[in-house]
Amino acid sequence: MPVISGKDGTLYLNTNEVAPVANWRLKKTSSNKHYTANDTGGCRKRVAGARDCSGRFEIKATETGNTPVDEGETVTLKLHVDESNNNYYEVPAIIDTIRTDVDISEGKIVAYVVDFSGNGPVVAHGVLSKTGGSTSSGS
Amino acid sequence: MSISFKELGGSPVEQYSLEGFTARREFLIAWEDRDAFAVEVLGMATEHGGRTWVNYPGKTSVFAVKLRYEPFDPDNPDLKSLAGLTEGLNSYSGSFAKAIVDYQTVNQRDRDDGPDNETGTYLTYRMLFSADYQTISPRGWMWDDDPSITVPDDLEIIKRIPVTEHHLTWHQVVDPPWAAVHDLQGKVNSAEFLACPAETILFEGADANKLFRSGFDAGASEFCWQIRYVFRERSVKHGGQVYGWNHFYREDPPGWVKLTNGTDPLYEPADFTTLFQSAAIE
Repeated sequence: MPVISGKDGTLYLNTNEVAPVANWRLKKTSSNKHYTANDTGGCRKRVAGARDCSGRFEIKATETGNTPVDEGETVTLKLHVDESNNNYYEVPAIIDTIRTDVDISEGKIVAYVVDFSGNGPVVAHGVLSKTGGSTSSGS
Repeated sequence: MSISFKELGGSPVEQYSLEGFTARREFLIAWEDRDAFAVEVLGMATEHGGRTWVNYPGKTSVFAVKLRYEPFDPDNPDLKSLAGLTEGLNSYSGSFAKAIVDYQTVNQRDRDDGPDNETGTYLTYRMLFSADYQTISPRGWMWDDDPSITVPDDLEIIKRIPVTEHHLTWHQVVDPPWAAVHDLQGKVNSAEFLACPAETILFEGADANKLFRSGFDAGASEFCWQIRYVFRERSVKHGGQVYGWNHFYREDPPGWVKLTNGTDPLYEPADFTTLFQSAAIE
């Protein structure tokens, strides 16, 4: 079964593709609550909790392109893992931080490193969905 | 008990104090079982005649008196639309409610020489003391070592009269005897009461509080009453006798004597038994 290379991944902010994007990452979590009780045999058990996500993406600065987001801005991200247009996460998000790296001595390409947090349920499409098709983290 | 529950680690927390033994237990139950669990822990007011509230394991005089629920995972309510304040409520289906149950010592009857408690109810007792001061005229008094020596007219003789408050709290009352409370307030005991002679105990009044039960499915919530009766004892002990609320000091001849208006004393004597009988069986 062929594996997916990340070289064709893309990022959309609302409906617009953002380029050039160097990388993106997404972490989905569940705030599982633990407890011990008379029937847990000295071990912790857990119940599934509220779902959340966070992530980061890095965009290379261009001479003619504007910074694509502001801190505190709410956006809808579409994080594609390949060029099929079928396999992506749809993430309502809010921008937490924007870090701009300028390496004067080495002359590296200026980059915007953007951290975001989830602002609603994440919808996974295609192979990213556990069941195939689309599934929401709120379901 | 039919509702499935777990007792959380860290529970129970127990305390011994002047109030007796108290404890708190914490449980996890299914969110949907809250009302049913409340019935099992606190009982229902209509189940009168038997034990209405669960007792603490191993302690037959300690009972569940308060129950509080909170969502075990408050960050994870169900997704739902709430159309109005009276049309919906947050729910946590498939998750737990944390039930916090407080227990308290409630003896069926604290004083064996006190009034009887009706079946399914409990009578607890507390006592507080204070004192009154009575100025006595020196007329009629003499010096014990030499009665021929005159007692000055301006000699201040002050008698300290102990006053005791007796608090009888009647728990789990479904039908309080409101008419009896109204009728007997301000009267004194016609016969011995709490081992005190007749006319030494004055019924001052009552505090009444509700203790809500379960049964919230339809209509008004059921509840029982907790009624605290306050009696004030005034016992003047003199010459081997005990004088109460209707006795006053007389100068000549000196002594404590009952005062009347020709027919009735200042405080009317009455039988306090009906204060401890439900209105339904009066």
